[in-house]
Amino acid sequence: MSAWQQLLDGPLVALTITVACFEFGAIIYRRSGHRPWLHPTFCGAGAVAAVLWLLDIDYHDYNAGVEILSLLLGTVTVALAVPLYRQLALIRQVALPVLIATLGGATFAVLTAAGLACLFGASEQTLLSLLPKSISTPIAIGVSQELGGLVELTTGTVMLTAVVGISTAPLLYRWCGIRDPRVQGFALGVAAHAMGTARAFEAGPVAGAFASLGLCLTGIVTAVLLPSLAGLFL
Amino acid sequence: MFRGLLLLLSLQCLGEAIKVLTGVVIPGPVIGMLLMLALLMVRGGVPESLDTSTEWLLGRMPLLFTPPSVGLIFLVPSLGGEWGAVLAVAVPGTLLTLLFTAVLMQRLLAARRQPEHDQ
Repeated sequence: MSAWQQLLDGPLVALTITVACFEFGAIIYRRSGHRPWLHPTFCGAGAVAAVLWLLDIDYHDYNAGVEILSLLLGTVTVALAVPLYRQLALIRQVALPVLIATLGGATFAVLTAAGLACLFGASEQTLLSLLPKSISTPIAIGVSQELGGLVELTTGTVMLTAVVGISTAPLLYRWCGIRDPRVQGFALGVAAHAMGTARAFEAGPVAGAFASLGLCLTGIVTAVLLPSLAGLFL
Repeated sequence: MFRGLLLLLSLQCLGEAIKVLTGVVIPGPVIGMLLMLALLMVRGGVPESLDTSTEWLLGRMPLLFTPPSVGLIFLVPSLGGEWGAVLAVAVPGTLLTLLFTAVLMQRLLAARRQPEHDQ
């Protein structure tokens, strides 16, 4: 086994590539004047893909190397309780609208996904994989398995949804005159899960807290309701 | 200075343990978050060490999302004839959901005539 192969087997190279590419993405993002579609996450991901291709590293080996980062994503989820706690007074005032909007938004996300997938001739397995697209990856994987979908396809669609959500939300909000940070954050959390929440925190603490709220409630509502709802239609 | 991180990791472990033991479909970290929220409400304040760790972690979220985005790029060649449906669900589906949720939330808030909150 070559020294290079030995180095590749550990997580060190994968982590270094990820952080280096992310920094590269952050520089491009800053130079571009913070254009949403040049977000460091996407620029960084594009750069990582290019580096993996150039160095001939298998994606699955890379993914195993950066597993520590997905573990930390769970820690971040726990940490979301802190901004949520700080905005609790503000959230309590609007508890009923939040609950209704969660149920409405989560149901709408699933129904439009089902409708559009049927319209574009998706197979049943693809359809099932696409239904949980609006919820955060760990919940979506669980739901997809429950439904009988393809986990890789679900993960990919969940990420694509977030990419679309966070790159279009600023424009969409400007066109539709949506200025309330509570509404901006909440819709991002419901429609674009954890990445939408990260984006909302860049806008401010109120948007961030409402996004965390939208993210958690949508995740729970979808995880509980979707498997039983899907059973009714299939 | 690691007390905040220790608290976060402990609750993450506890959440994971509860998920495994009870077999609920809610992911472990989400259970951990609900426990943390309950803990803060009982305690009535955020300890400084937790505040420091949380701020550091939340600021690193975009980095943590980079690997799954790489996965998305590598998924494209294996989609075959289904890419149209995937794009349709991900692009217009997400735009419609964002818009629907935002407008619904705005209407609901306006109906309760809550004062506008500035950023």
